[in-house]
Amino acid sequence: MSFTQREARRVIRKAVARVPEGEEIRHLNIMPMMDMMTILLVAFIFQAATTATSLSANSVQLPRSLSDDEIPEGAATLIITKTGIVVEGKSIVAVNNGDVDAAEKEGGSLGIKIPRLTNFLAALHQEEEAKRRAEPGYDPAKAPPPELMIIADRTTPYRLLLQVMFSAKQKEAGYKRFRLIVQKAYPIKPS
Amino acid sequence: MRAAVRRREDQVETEEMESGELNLIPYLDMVTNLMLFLLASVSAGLILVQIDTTLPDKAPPSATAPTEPSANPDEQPLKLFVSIKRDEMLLWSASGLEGTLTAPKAVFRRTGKDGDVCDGPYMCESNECDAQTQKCVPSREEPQPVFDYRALNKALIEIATRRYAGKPRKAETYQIILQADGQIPYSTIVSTMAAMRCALPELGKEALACALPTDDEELKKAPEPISPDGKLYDTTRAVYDPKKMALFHEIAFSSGFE
Repeated sequence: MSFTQREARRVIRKAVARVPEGEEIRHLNIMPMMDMMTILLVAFIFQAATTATSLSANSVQLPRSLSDDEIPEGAATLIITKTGIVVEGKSIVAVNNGDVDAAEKEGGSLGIKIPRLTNFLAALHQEEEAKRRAEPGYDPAKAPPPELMIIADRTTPYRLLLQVMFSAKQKEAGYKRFRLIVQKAYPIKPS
Repeated sequence: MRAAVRRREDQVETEEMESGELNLIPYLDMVTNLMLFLLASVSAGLILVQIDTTLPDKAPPSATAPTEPSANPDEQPLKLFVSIKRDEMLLWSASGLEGTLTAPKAVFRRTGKDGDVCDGPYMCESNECDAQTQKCVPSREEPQPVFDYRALNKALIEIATRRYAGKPRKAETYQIILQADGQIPYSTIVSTMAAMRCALPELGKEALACALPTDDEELKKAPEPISPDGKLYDTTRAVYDPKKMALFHEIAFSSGFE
């Protein structure tokens, strides 16, 4: 298929004429859309940061449960992965084959207290307590007991879970209530 | 033709510059791409919930404290235990009112083998439940012990119904101790705890609403013993219904047995 020069010019003129002058587009108000996109972006970044960071980039596979209680706000987060124990994003001790190295435990391989974890949690507890005291209207008598949110891999042995809880419960650390975080399970319905 | 297109592009560019408006198209492109990226990176259906628990100081106090012989047994802690061993799960009581360690109230065997009925991965040793057949199927994951959680749940509902239904239930009767072999994985612990806390839904059905006891002063003063959202209730006034209220939600962990 070939065009003469005149036909080609006519086609170009028509095509150019079809292109809008830009008046309509220039006056389209896209500010609400930008606002919405920015808000959504911030929300997604926040959610991704809290979820992804706390789950340490897929290193924790959460167990599923039919439980329905919402996760608490403001509790310190402790993560037990297959390779280590992480508190508030900081790696505390290594985990190997579902157990902490005997050298890290008080009393050796049969011990249940992990002093390094206890000390870190004690410092964290003091820091949180200082922040709370600084808040106006703080009443120590009415303050809720400190809570520890535990996120553990589904394969974590009960023994390790107990060691972590025991270490956190020591007087110096002072965490007595624990919130076990699980992934909500939805029942598979018959098709 | 190229010259005409170039002229047109120059014209549009000149108009844009002269109009004095910012070109927001690259920004929008960037935001849209980021949105898509973030949407893809957030795992679908990852909703986190929590189960609260405590760790007793030494041996569970309720297990060692003697039962008051003159008091009504339904107003005292039953000292119930759920003990998870490698091949079976026991339901018994230190008070002797609901079986003993040597003669437990109920024994639950391991289930969740490939081909067993399931309504979720938590019911399968392989952590994989086929949505079409509703049966456990093999997976690459390391098998985890699974017990008959619904049978445990039914046994606890039976105890709660027999002892507490139809009248206010004392707060201290919600205690229960969980002890497990040191090797039992967290997934088994969590599923067992879910069966201890509230009535489980029937196979394939949505979880039922489950109200939890509270000592909230506001609720104690309120005319209705159950909070408006139906999630909390005042134990001293609310008439206990095991199908809508907690079974034994005060779970304490005990050092297990090897």
